[in-house]
Amino acid sequence: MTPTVESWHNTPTELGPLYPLVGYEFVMFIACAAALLGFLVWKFRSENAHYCQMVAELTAPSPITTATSNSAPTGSPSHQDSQDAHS
Amino acid sequence: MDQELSALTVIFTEFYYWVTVVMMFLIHVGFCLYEVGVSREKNKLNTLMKNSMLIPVITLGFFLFGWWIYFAFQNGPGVTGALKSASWSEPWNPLMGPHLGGSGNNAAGLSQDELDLWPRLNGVFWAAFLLFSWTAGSILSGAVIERIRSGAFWLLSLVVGCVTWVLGASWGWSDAGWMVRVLGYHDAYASGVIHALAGGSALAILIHLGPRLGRFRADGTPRVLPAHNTWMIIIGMFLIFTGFWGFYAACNIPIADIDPDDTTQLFSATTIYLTPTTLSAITFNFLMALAAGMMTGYLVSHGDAFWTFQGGLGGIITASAGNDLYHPYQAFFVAAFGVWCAYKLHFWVEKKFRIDDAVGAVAIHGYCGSIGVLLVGFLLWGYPSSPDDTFAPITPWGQLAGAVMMFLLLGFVPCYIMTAALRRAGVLRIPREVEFAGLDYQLVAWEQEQRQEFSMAERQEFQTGVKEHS
Repeated sequence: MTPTVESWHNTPTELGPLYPLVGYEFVMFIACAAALLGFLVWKFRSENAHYCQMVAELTAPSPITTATSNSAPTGSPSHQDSQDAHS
Repeated sequence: MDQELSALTVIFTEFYYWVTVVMMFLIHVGFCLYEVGVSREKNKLNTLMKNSMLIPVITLGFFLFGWWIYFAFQNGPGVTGALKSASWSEPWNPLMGPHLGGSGNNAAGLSQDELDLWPRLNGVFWAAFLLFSWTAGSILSGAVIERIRSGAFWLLSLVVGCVTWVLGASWGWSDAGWMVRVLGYHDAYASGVIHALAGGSALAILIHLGPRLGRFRADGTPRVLPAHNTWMIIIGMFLIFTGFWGFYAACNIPIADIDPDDTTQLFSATTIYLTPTTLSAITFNFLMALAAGMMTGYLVSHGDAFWTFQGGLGGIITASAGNDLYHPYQAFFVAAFGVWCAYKLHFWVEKKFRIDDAVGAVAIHGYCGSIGVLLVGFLLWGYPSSPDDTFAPITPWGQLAGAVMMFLLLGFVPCYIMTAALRRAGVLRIPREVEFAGLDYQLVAWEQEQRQEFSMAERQEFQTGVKEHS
């Protein structure tokens, strides 16, 4: 890779951009935009899975419940129900 | 000599904004402390991460499109002209990176004017605006704690922090924005463009999000959820006050020649509208507004610590729109009036509409900001809004239109639509089982397990040691 600045002894008034890969800014922009979008998509998906797992864990019959009751555990309202309850 | 002076001016301006950015970081530290303090023990880590992670999300968004929106949309576009060219703010422009302003390697075809000004100021201006964006996101964050999904919150804060507030600033908080030009809109320290707008956004989100479980009794009266750590709240509020000094300084341009005819040179600090002001003037008014807000908060809440400190913040926010021109007495009474109204409105709205605003963000930012913008219309009626005499002067109707624009059209409406979509998709609110158990439920369970294991191991080693010694 050729550095953008080859010597600090050149005329300072000619020093423009200092970073490497001048001319590839648009490519880096696309990569960065993809990173932001990817992060948000990942967060939505992982959060969904995480809460599904937590709900399953929290609503699973505990060993004590199973031992003392033969009846099926009463299911808790679904997530969508919880949102609709506020409408 | 002239060149040395202008170089000194540019380098001083660069350093000035850099310092304001460092100070404004304290606002975010304050918001984090404050929110975590208000949240309950079972939700504190999630609350912290939800707010903290808006930093990378908004930073990236503001670099990619927020900064460009601020310059490009000043004409509407379509109200006073077309989309403006603002090459230095395009995310692929060489000036959005380390650049010494020299003419070498100028493949992007930058003009000499751009090369003279932007290499040293672009990053620090960008950062000052970015910190305002974080604040906008943080205002939403406090209102929605303990039941919103983090992903949904970050998406909403990205929209408010990188699009809607930036549009508000572009239109009403720039030297050439169409609202300043056409309406004579005046909002020197951002009562409307940040606070009213973010407050309106928070209200829209809260309507769809709903209250926390158990927040209201069957008859609609609210239950109080005591904060888990009052000290965190108070220290957080003090840090927000401290960071607010940086915010005020960042709203000014530190050195500009304010002589319109260029016959003599008179240097002064100016507001964002390029109208002259002084740091001395805003220091008077900032502190008088803080004093009035705290006093009013204390008075109306009968000495409640939370509302006393919130009142201080609300006082500053109410007076901010006109704090470049008010007399300190005026700043005092404007601030007191704003906080009194916001306090009364908060409890009325809470009871009437069952809005669970956990930190009073809609009241302190939304109502105080809107009231502040409106009062400017009466107290500063007829003042020129800009050094450009072709711009409309400040009027009550211009300010009313500005308040409606900020709170309702740019704040409430976009967030209402977006939150409705997120709710419909089932990704807005956490499941009620998780809300009941606490967002940190798994962490708490894991910590308890670790403590138990450690305690058992400790006991075992202790007992072995006792046997060896005996």
